[in-house]
Amino acid sequence: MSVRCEGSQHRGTAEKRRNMPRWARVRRIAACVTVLAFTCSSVAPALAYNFNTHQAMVDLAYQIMRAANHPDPVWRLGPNPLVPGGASVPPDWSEFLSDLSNAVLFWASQETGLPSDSCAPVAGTLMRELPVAPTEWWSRGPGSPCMDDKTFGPGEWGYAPGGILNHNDVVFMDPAFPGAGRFRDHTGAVLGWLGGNIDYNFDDTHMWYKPQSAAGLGVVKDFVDDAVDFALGAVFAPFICMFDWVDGEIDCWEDSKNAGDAANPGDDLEALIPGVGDESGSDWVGVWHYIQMGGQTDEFDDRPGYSLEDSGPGVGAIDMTLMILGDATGLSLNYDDSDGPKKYQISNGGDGHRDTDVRSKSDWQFLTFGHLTYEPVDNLAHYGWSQWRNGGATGWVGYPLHALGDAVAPHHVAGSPGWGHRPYEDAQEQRWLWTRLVREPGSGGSDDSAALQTVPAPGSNLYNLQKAYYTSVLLRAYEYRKWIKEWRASHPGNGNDVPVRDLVTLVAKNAYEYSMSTYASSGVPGWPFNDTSSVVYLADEGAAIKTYAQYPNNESMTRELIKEGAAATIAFLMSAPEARQ
Amino acid sequence: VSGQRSQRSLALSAATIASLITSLVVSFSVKTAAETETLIQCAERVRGEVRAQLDAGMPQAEADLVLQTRFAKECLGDPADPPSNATAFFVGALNREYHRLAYMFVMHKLNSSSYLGLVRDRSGKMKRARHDATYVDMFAQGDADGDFVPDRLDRCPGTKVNAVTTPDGCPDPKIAGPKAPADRDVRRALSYYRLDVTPACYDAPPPDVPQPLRLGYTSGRTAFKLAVVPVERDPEECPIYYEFNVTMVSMLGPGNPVYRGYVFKDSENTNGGSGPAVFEIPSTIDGASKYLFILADLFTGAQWRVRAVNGAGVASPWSTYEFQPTTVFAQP
Repeated sequence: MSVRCEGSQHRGTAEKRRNMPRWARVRRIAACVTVLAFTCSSVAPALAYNFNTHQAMVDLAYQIMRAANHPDPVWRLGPNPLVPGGASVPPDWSEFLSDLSNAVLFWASQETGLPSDSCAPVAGTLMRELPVAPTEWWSRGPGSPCMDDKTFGPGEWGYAPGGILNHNDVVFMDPAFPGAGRFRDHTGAVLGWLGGNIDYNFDDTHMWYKPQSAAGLGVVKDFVDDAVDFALGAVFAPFICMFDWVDGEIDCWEDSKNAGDAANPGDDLEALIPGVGDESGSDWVGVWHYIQMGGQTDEFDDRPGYSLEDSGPGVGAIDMTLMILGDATGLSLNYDDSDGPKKYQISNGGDGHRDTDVRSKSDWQFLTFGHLTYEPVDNLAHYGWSQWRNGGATGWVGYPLHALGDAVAPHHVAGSPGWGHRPYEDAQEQRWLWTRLVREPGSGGSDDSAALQTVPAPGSNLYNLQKAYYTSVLLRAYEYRKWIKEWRASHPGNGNDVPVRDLVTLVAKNAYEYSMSTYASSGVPGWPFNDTSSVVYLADEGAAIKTYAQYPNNESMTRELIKEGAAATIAFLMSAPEARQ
Repeated sequence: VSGQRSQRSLALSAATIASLITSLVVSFSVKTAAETETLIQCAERVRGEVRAQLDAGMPQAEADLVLQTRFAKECLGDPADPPSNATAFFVGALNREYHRLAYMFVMHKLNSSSYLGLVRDRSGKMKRARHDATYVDMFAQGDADGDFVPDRLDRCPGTKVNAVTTPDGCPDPKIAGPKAPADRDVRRALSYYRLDVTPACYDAPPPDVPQPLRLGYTSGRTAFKLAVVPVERDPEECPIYYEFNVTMVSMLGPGNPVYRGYVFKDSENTNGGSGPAVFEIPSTIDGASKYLFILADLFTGAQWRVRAVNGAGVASPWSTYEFQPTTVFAQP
């Protein structure tokens, strides 16, 4: 798939780029698809945690795995009962550490699964040995551009152990690998990239506009007042701009003009409209990335996925708006063009989890967008997992890794594209350095990626904070790992399988309960659910993001969710290799 | 107005349903020749055919229901397991209902809670229909009060329009007004998506057909003008949009027409409030429309037509095509 830096699907502006955290900006500028996809997405279904957050969480998990076996106790993570308040050492801790070590060796020795071209061979390269940052690897193909700068630098394409974890590279050398002495192990970044990249499976979802009226356009726009010169475009504008981010830019309008210009001469305008209506891209891929944990029942799966009629902590303003827009315009799923229904309806999963009551093409197409229940994200996890477990390339683990990230995204487990969904996730990306404690809580400073390179002095406050938090992630991973082992013991017929659907559902349940209890005690405005902020986001993105970025204790509350996600990711990465052996 | 309102509801007479089912049988037997159609092609074909029925006098509410039912029957279903006529009819009616409810919300005729209650009510009945094949069969035999409970199961057959009901068709106030987002927030969000339907147009009748009068370049070709006999707003607060199809005839022959569509709001009439309505395309135009001026010397005339669309998207039929053998605009 070729990806354009500027185009009709995503529109970036200086204003939007100003809203990006600087820690992410360097690679965003290079990675145009990443930049434009998630900064320009509307409040429509949307991506889950932004790409960088997805990637960074997996990378963090991997770096914590490495640090658990760090040879120097100063930089090693783990329970230390000698420290005041320190956790006691579980009885089988050494076994846990051994399993961690094996997992690190396993993943680092896997082929990247990344595409390659003549500019920078990537395929076949071990993750740890990846020699250079392959430029625009996400869009590799005949004729893809290759930039000159192939050297690593701070924060490039997501490689960022950060803080005390930087010592993973400085001190920890593993002679088992050829080229020992390299400073960097890029495995976490690659795995994170694979996880984040699931948001670019645009072909999962294709929508079209089913005509709603025999008589006319169905919806008439007031564009005409200022657009007399592009009147045909005015006719198309409702259908092209409807779900785009309308913030005063004229790009959407320009696009609709182009559509008008390209219209087939001689046809009635109304007859052209259905053909114009293919909708895919970042706004729609996410409909498969939800799992509603709020007690709703589902006809088709264990848990419902995206389902606007029962979304959120209650149907929100954006949820209802999307439903209305879908019915006003006839927006509907195009089954033949969409991969999602074929990929994410799981039959014969074999993991003890309830399989999908598979729906027919008719079922997927009969109703408009807002009245469908989409498959839950644990099914997405299983889809990729089953491919990888059966010998598939490394890239397939991106699915379960992505699902684990979504499972700790409050709006994805509540099931709402509203309730502050976009501003919350944008804010967490902005505040990532504070959330993961590369910067001290409450401190100022920029969000530049250079901060990741700072290694706090042993005994300093930041050192202690980081060590305590990363250790808490590790201890939580121990719990998840234990849960997986217990599942295996109770499912002897499944060997060393990993119950990814159960795992994602469990993580989502925990994240949901945490989110709801926090919301219940957060007062007004609520955290993490704030329905008004999604509406504000439509007019003033920055202001809406601030409601979260400046919310008291935002980072400490988010930290708990990230801990859950990173811990489950560690447990998954530990257990997955055993399923393939 | 009341007549329009009843047209929009889904209370269906047995005669209407019977004619729908008959048309389905006919259309589906014809459709076998088009089994390789894509979804879009199918939608375009069906829409064109239903539009012809509408132009021939079928009431709009009925035409819209036929459209949705035929979509379900011919376009949306799995060809290997096509839906029954009754199922297609139920799905068509339901989609029409969802559309109607959305429209009513936009038109301020429902608040957010009532809207959500009704949507959930209809979706609940869809779930029931999915698991009970006899439900759609009974529905096809009649649902006089339009509550999506078949008459045969309906213990309260006279339920008023827009009522949430129990499974046996009686009003159920307990679930009629669920917790919902604030009305103002939904309307504010809708405004950002520019779903700009004019509430004043709710239940407005279809506009009259405007008549083409003149079109052409002004002297010096500073603008291209189109003049029509305007149609009245009804009601006064409901704006009218004029949609033009214009094919410029060139000396290069019939294979090289310059076709454009134009839409103007009635407030853009440059001729004031009385007499013909005159709309202008300035020569400073950019984009593909600039060829209207670049190629002006080649044009020998124009074939054109116009229709009116009100602020709720209800359109008049098209005028007949007019041919004008000159491109000089003569003030009407």
